Amino acid sequence: MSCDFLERHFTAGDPPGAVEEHRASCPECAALSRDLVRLAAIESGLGRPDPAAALVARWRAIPGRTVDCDTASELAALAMEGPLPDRDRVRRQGHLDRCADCRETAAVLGTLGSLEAPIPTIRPGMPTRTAPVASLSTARAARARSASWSDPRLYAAAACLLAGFFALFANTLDFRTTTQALGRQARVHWAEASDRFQIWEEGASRTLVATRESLTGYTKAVGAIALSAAGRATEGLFRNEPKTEKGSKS
Amino acid sequence: MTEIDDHTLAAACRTGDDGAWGQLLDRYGRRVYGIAYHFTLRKEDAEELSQEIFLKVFENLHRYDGRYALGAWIVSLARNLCIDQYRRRKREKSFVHVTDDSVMPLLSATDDPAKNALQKERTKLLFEAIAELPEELSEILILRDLDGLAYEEIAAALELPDGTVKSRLFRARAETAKIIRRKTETRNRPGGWKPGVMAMAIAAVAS
Repeated sequence: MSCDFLERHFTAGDPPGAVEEHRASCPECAALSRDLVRLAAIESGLGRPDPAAALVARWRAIPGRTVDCDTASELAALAMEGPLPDRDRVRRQGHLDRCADCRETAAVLGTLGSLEAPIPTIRPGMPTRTAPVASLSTARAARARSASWSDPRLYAAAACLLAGFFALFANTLDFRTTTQALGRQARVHWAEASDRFQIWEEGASRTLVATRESLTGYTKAVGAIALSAAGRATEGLFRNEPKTEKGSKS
Repeated sequence: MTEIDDHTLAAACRTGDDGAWGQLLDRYGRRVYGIAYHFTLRKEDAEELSQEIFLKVFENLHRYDGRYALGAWIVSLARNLCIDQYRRRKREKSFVHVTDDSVMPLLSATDDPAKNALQKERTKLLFEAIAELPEELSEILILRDLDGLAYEEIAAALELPDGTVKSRLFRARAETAKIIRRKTETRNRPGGWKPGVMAMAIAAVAS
């Protein structure tokens, strides 16, 4: 039976026969037990006086005497670097005495220092002179160059990158808003252009009328016909007139 | 050829001096093979990786400026190749179940069969635990505790400050201990694997 098991029974207040046996063989636990019995007697007789100083000291020493498994692992890591300070060494040893798993862990970690270096074997193709190394290097570089563009993995990677880009930035770009804004801009530009052409057309019509009136004789007749035709051709080109049905035109 | 310093050796190799190249292989071949073996745990892979590393060394000799020891520089070149190989191996099932053949070249045989068996099981358990570490921890553990590189060499090879190397090494060792403990606890459950029992059984058969 270990000391920590005994401590649990002490606090339970009903030590079985095995505890008695351990107490007989362990002076530390025997002293602790005596203190506990004395404390129980004091408590029953005088209410709740302060516990004996020796008992307090022992209680306080219990966590310092040992560590848990995780701390033992960390102390094992520290121990690989160099000797532990006395306090840590004692705490670790206290834990190892009671924990078989941590003892085995320490033994496995200990194999790190005892492993042999593997004996190197020269590969049959391993060049030991510089010329074959150089030719091997050149051949490998040529192979890498020729293989790089024909490798389907390259295209797969590019496709993945592209897909990743759209997946990441789709929200940021907000295609719908962008398309709507572009459409609005295009409509504004078209309306402005239409107004400008309308102004130009009106100006041109006035010029045509003025020129036709200034012509005389045959020249006037020919010029008037040509100018009328030109006027008819350009009339209504940029004007937003409502469309009329073929049958309704009188 | 007489023993020459790293910088001169590298310069001689650059000019195509076969003697210098042979000396470089002699001087660093064992270390490079050891690193390659610890990262791959397979003889064939370690040989191939060693050749790759030396090819890379030859191709990059013109970049060696003598700022670090040649050994550290070679390890820094070897590192990426080793890590690539390590990742490839990690994807394979065999990685987490280390075989007897993988650890045999690392063991020193004794006359005691039980002791040999116990050492082999413990070494397998150790490498299985290392395999579960994150790469940035396992590489430092391998370089320091298995290949015996100095902190300065590891710092130069991995381009890390000395303090980072030390803290990562501590974390690597502590994590390895925790993984080993977890595995040991699992094996020590009723019906689980017990190295002591195994060793006793082997001793009984051997006797």
